[in-house]
Amino acid sequence: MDEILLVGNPNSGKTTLYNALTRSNEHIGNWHGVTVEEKKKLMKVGESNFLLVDTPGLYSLTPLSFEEEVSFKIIEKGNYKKIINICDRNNLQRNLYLSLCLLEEDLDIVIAINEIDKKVKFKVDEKKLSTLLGCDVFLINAEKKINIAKLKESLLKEKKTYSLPYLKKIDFEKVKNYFKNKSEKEKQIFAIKAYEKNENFFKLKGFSDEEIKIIFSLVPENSLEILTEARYAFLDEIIEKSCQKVDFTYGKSKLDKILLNKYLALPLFLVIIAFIFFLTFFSLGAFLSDLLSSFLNLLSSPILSWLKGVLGGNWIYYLFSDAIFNGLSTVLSFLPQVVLLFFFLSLLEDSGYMSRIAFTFEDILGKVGLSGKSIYTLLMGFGCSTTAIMTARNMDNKNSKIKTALLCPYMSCSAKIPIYTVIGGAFFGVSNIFVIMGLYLLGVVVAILVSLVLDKTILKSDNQTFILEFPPYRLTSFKRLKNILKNNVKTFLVKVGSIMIAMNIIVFLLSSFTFKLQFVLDGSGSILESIGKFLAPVFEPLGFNNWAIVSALLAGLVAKEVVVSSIAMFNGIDFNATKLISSSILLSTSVVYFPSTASVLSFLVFCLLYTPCLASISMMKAEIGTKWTVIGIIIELIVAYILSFIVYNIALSIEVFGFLPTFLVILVIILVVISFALIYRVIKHKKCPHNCQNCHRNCGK
Amino acid sequence: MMPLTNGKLNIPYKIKDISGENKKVVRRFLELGIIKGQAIKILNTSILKKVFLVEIRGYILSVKADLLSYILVEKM
Repeated sequence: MDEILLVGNPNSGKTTLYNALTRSNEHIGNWHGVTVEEKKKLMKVGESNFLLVDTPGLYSLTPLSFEEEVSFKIIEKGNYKKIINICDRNNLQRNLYLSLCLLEEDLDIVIAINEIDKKVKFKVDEKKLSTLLGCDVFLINAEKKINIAKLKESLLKEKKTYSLPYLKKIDFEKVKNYFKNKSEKEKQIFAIKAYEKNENFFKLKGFSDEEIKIIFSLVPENSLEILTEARYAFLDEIIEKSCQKVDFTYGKSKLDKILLNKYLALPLFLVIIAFIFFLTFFSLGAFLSDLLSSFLNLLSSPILSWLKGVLGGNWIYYLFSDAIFNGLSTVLSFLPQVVLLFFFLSLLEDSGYMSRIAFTFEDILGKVGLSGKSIYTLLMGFGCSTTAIMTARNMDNKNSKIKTALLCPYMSCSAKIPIYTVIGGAFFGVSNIFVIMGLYLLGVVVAILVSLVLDKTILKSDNQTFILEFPPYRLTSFKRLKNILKNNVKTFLVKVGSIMIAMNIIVFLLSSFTFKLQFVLDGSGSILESIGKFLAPVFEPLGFNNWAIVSALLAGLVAKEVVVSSIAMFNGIDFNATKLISSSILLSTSVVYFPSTASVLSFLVFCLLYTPCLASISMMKAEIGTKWTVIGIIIELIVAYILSFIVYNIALSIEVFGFLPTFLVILVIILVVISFALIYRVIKHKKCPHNCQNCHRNCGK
Repeated sequence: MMPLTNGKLNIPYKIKDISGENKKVVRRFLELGIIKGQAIKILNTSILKKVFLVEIRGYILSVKADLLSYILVEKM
């Protein structure tokens, strides 16, 4: 089946058009790198069928970032019928720069000028522009599906002959002579690529480094400047002739005076995030979760009674009641909170605020070896680590990409919400709001510290670039809001209905049968108890050596929600006490046992920081390779163990000796560490071969 | 002639030259329309002045200060 490529600048509306052309529901956003890999879907044009390929955004045909390279390779591979080049009308000149690059390669393209904003800022005469460029040009609105039919019809037309007069003013002859055996058309394209000094292009065409060096020596030193200036001069000319220009700056907003204010930007961001978390966990989200929980209890009670009547008290009944009903309903009741979190993150993504956050955070993140762009990936990590890791492709530096991907799991993902709410809520009651906020903050602090250590040791970030376009602020449409909710509910239900059912059944069978395949009701002597008891001593220093908790942690390696569903399965959770009240949810019949609140805190910290779920691990492997994935997991396990140990001992000390003595001991330890560090510095500098004893931080020799 | 990072807020400058160690960045600047003779304006800076917001060809870019210093300008 013939393929049609969808190509354009970042954030020009490619995926919106892809959704309109294929009736899909792919994720979109108001940020420059939401699509980071190619997507394909069937598109009908009259009687013909095509595969429409959505590609990551790019500014030209010389890729600088990983996601641009994906698009570049697809375009240069050439196995397609036509290209739809989408351009944002309100930033048309810059968008048309890519169109010129495509036309110069004599690719079969049709230009779709997307009218994203309702207000017409820039009137375009599509017919005049089409005559000036020589290819079909259509004004469309991808979101409202205006002129989509016309655009589709044009895909069946034959390729046109383009007119690019500015190329005649550049002397390509010398370099053209190098490609004697090529056709005239190829000579022209190769000569342009030589002027672009486009190494990627020549490498893709099989030229050796030596040949590329010779080719580049045949063009003037400032060849790229000559070509770019010619392109922009031509763009100035055609914009002048075909567009009615209005004095307006794309992305400029009065809101930025407040949101980008030097002193307000950071506090405002923190207030917005705190408000999102408050709504998700403690007001709207908690209310909806309680409501759903009550509904699920109401629904499951008669079914379970009926099942007990039919099946009696055999293991199949317990499989249904413990693994499927109890286990899944615990997790299912968190559907509103998880969906709300994704909903707010999507609103942030759509609003155009992400680029502003990246700008605000570049100062801070630059100091720990990250880029401001990392903030997008890290914020997405609060939703789902797996998809967040993929967005690390936005980084234009390999080390930054690896570092950003490695830090994603430290951001507390939505799958951990049930753990914090059920376990934390049971032991800390209304104060759990501070425990949850503390856990989120701890994740961020640990990520910063890990990044700092990686930056100073194995992942130094040299030549970090930060060039980011500012999109305009946009309000999310009702249709999009509906889609966000629908998609997230669907994703959550599919996860519960597939991987979680499977895991719950496995955990149930392992915890209900002995090695001799005898059924046991309370888990004693079960396979899981043996495994849990074998591993439990490892967790003794962290305050939880109970086999059931250790087993729940093991099951959580597959998906974090399984930690809570496993505890529920071990008959651990009293469903009437899952609200934020200060009573225990752990039933007396439960095999799950936390000896103190210190051990609960330690358990929560361990859950926050230990190995991410299987889906995240496989995504990490695909994005940053096996070596860095293994390194990342080892670091996570070490960090989780050490921090849980510290938290457990501090909390235990507060429980036993009170707050003030514990605080004083910690203060003394910190002072001792600082003193040792200072002494080490003095000794190190005394040994300095350059004898610069008072060099302080300026030695560097 | 001076690096754009030495410029004042909201004053349009004319680009005189673009050169720097990182050739990929120079290339990206050119592709984004930051070319000789073009007007450019600083709109804002981050609190530590490590990042600048600039207006060029009717759109806004945020650029790290050390990269922005590749752009040499003079008053219009």
